[in-house]
Parts: sequence; C-alpha cells; structure tokens
Amino acid sequence: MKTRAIVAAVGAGAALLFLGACGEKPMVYKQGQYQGKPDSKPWDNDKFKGNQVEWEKAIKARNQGQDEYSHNIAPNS
Amino acid sequence: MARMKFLCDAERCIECNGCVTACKNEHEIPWGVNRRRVVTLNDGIPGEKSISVACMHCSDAPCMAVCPVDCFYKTSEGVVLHDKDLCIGCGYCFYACPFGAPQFPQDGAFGLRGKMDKCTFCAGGPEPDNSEAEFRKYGRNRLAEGKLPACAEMCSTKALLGGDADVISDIYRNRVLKRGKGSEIWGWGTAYGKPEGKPAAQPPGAKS
Repeated sequence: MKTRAIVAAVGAGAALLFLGACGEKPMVYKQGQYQGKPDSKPWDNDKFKGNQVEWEKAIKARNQGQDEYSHNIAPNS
Repeated sequence: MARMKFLCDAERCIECNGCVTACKNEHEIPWGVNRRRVVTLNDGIPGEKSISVACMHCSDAPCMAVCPVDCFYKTSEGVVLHDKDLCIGCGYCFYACPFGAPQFPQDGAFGLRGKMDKCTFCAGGPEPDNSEAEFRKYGRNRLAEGKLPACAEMCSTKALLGGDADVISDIYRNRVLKRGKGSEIWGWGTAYGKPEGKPAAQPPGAKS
C-alpha cells in the first residue's frame, strides 16, 4: 500500500515536471528583432531612483543651457 | 519623451576639435577609434564650412537594418545603441551608415578587426548604469547622470547642439532669425527624414 502511494506520488511529480515544459517559450532567433541584453531606463539608477520627471527636468535644464540667448545656465555638477 | 538628436551649426563651427577631444577623454577611447570627428567641406575654397560628425542616431537607422546578428536597439529617447557581446565585427553597419560612424578597433596580435564602437550619445549600453562593465565596453553614461553628451556640452561656440530635438531646433531657429542666414542643417535630412527636394548645390571647384 505504502509502496503504491510512493509510486503514485513520484508519478504525479514526474507528470507535473513534464507538463511544466509545455509552458516554456522556445528560444528562437527572430529576424529583425534585437537579440541582446535588455537595457535599463536612464532614470532607473541610484541618482534618480526611478523618478522620470526629475530626470527630464535635469535634461531640460541642460538643454536650455546650450542656448546663450536665453541666459539660462545649466547647473554644474 | 525627449527625442535625442545632434545638430551641428556649420556657421559656428571653428574646427577646434574640442568635441573630438571631449569625447575621447570622456570615454577613454583607444587610439585609432574616433567616435566623433570634424569634417571640413570645400576645404581651401573661400566659404569652406566645418561640421562635427558622429553617429546621428537616425530615425530609421540603416545600421539596425543590415546587422546580421541584430545587436542594435533603440532606446525610448531615440538613441541607437548596440550590444557588443553580440557584435561579430562584420562591418556591414559601416557600409550602411551614411555618416561613417561605426568604428572598428584593431584587436589582438594580428590586427584583427574588433567589435564595432560608435557614439552612444553618452548613454552607455546594455549593462548596469555607470558600472565598470558599461564604462569598459561603451564609455561613460552621462544620460543616466542627467547630463547631455560631453561633445555638445564642451563645444566652445555652441556649434554642436545635442539633446531633445524640439529644444535644440528651437535654439537653432532663434539663432538663424537673429543672424539672418545659415538655416541649412547638415545631415538632418539624411538622418531624420529626407525632405523631398533637390540635391545640395555644389559651388564651382568643390572638392569634398
């Protein structure tokens, strides 16, 4: 009786293991699609801590710093 | 979201090569590789013009289209970057690029062509931001520090502008209105959508 239960448990485990493979997506080369590592956003780091608005504000200030007519000086850092 | 572009004002460029030096220094670029360079058009002819050229991060980048291993990607800011771990150094991108941006360092004892290197708009690459690996492969990631490319920010005459397309084109438009000439932006048609029109007129005796 005990042996049968063990065999059934092992069988069920093996079945689950095999069925799990059905959910795996095949790794196939797709023509024209980027194949490399994913890159993070420029605001996803220690300085901006994911705050996109702060990053855009910093970039905007730097952008305006290139305009000598506006007399808007970019912050130095 | 910002759409990052470069704009070189040929009326202002004095061929000082400050942008080239800034780029070399910022990313510790090896000897023989020039991510940015200054080109003089009609050199020696009165009215010659100089422009600073690097990867323009094209809207429809031809390098991305021809890469056999698809190692290029474009960020949400419109910066064209590539994964050096995938690059095989075949050189197709060099032939496809209208600006001659891709560079190939000599690698190994027999001068083999190494992995492609190009301007990253100071945005690093697909490695953790500001990590040692990112700096070694792609150079410094100034964009992640909230800064613009070193070449544009170092330009002494502000001939080279880099950043959000709307802002830099506004700056340029104001300049042109104030000085009343020099409205042509070299390379923008090629990089960001060629307008229908005639080819650029060459002055008599033009060489380059």
